[in-house]
Amino acid sequence: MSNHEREGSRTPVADDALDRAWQQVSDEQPPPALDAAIIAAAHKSTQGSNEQAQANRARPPYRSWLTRWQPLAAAAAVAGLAFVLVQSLPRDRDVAPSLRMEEPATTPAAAPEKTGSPAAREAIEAKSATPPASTVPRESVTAPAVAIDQKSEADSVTAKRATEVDQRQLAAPETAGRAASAAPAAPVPAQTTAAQAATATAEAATRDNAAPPDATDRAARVAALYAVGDIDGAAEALRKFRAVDPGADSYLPESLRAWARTVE
Amino acid sequence: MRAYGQGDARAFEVLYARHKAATYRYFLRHAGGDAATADELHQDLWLKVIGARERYEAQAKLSTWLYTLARHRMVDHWRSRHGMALESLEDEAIVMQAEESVAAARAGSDDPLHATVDAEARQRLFAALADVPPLQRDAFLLHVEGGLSLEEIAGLTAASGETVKSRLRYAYRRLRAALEDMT
Repeated sequence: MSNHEREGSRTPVADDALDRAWQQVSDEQPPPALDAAIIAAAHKSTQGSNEQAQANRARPPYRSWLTRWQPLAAAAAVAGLAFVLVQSLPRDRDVAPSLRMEEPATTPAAAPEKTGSPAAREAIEAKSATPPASTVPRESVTAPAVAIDQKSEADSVTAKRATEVDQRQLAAPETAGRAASAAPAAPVPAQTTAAQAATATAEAATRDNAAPPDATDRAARVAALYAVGDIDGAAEALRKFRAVDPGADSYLPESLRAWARTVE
Repeated sequence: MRAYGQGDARAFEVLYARHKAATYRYFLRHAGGDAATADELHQDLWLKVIGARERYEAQAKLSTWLYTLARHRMVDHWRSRHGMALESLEDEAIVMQAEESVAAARAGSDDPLHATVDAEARQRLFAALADVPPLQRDAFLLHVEGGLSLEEIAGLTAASGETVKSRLRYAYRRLRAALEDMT
């Protein structure tokens, strides 16, 4: 404590003479060994903390097992989730055939050829290259469409037409009955079954998928429509056939040519 | 102290060089000149300072903080050595005993073994201070060794300014008497 400091802090009760006398006699110092021990302790304290700080700086920050593997685990989880999602998504190619697969179940009759009329049988036989829809495996039915155009647009068209086929199937018996009453002179017997109609219509729809239809296919389509009693539809199909091919009548079966001549 | 708290050991050396003599004498006077006790208390104080370097916050003067620690250590010493707190020594009976002790010390200072005047003066002063009641002595030492003002001492000892002034006045009177005897 310096004299200046002592004088600076003088109090009203202080005695200058006494303070001076005190300062003269009070000059003890701590032993050097004690000083050295205290300063050594101070250095040790800072050295320890500095070393710790340096060690902390040098050592990479501790990362737990979870922290180290978290990015990889997250990536694996995302990849797995994407895979499962892709696997669980319905494939476009499977949508349309699944509707077709229901056709046999919803169709009451199973053997149309045996109960069908000769005209219908002939119409179906005319399309000898294409087996009946009810006996054709699913893959062979859809194969032409896939082969022509791999795009999903074609599949959606297929699905749409298949739906139309189903609707026609539902309306087929009624249409057949109406045709029988409206055109008694028609060569098609009235006992055409709904199964035959469905088979023929499905076949026609299947042929529609295989674009462009050739002359034989068109003739078969006209015959099939005629066979199920859809005279108007058959006439319309014949007109379109004629528009494409003026000699369309020659492709028709003999039994339909007389009727074809009545179609303008 | 802040620099030392940030790991600068040289700052501690400066700090220690500035305050070591005063704190040592603070303990030495309270211990009645017992160097071993003063060494022990002085070392304890500075080790406490070293230990508190990272927690130190400059809320008051460093010397005030330093002598607060020193006084706490002194009080602990008194409790352990004499089984009583400093406050219990302030009653009139103790004061009377202290005055008697001053007289006895004054008689003892006539010892012919003291060769020099300085040595005699020192002996008389220290003997007189040793017989000053602890609280008065503490106020005196905080003032003359620690350089603390009356207000700082009042804050440090949790006493009013008037009380501290009274304690100081009493200590000065005692020591003045001893000094007058020398002259």
